[in-house]
Amino acid sequence: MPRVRRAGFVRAHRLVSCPGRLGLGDSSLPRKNVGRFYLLVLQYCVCAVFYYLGELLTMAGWDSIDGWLLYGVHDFHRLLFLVPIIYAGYVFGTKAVIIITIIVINTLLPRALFISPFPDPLLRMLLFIIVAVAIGYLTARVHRATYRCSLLQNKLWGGQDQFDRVLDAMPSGVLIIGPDQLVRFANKVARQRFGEEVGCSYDEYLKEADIVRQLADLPVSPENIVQPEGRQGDVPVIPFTDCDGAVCRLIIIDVSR
Amino acid sequence: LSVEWVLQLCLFSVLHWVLVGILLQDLSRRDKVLGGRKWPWALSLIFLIFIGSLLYLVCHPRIFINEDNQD
Repeated sequence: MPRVRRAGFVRAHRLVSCPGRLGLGDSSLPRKNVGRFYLLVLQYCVCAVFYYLGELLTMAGWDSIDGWLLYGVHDFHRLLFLVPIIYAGYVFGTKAVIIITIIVINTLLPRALFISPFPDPLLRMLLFIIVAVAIGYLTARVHRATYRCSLLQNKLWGGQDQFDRVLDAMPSGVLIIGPDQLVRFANKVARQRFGEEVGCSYDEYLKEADIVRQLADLPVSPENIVQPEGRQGDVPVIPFTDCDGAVCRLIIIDVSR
Repeated sequence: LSVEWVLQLCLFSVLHWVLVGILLQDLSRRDKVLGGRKWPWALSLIFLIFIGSLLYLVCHPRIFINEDNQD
């Protein structure tokens, strides 16, 4: 019977090196990261071109195209730069947010200083940058914390699997009963003796054995367990904290009698 | 030069040198750069304002990738 795992636990990314390699000056860089990097560059280029599209069209001599989208206030256009900044924070981290933000400022400054006819262009740009940096930084921090958490979960599950294998190899029946009185784990011997039901209550699980009588009502101790022969107190019950923090009971039953 | 121009120049130069500082630090740590020599990259970072930095970034993506991100 596999151990019941909490629904929120997710397997983390594996630390496996990628076989494909790319990159101009970074020939040893994994292909996936290079792809992400050039996607970031593409996002920035699209935003930059869109930001100066009106000026580019004018330079190209397409004066017939007109409209507020190209020549109006560029607050909306500026917002698009949030995409590369947040993406950089999510994929690459804080340093990437700082670099991309400086590049974005350099891109926004010419319009703010020399082109925009609207009031306070520099102030609006600076406000946007402050908000964008804050969002990018927080994204990077949250993603980093999530990544570390998933790595720790992987280690935790690895330890739990190892522990389950040790319990499976024991010659006695071993049950782990959660605080909700449900059987969380039964080792191989216990499964052969009592069945394969997952998540049922321990008294249902052990009804055939007629071994546990009073666990639900009395404090956890070996004295509260009655063996089939009527003897009390020789079934070890060990308090046990499971990987999700729940305080469980680990019961070792000698099924050879 | 008016005060406004001086302030604008200061803003540009601060941004430029912050970016150049980050990139030069990355350049100094590298064993290998595109083209094999570091000094042309250093010169282009310092003197080709913004363009040199963009070129360096496009050619050397590793600067974006921390050790923790190499999953």
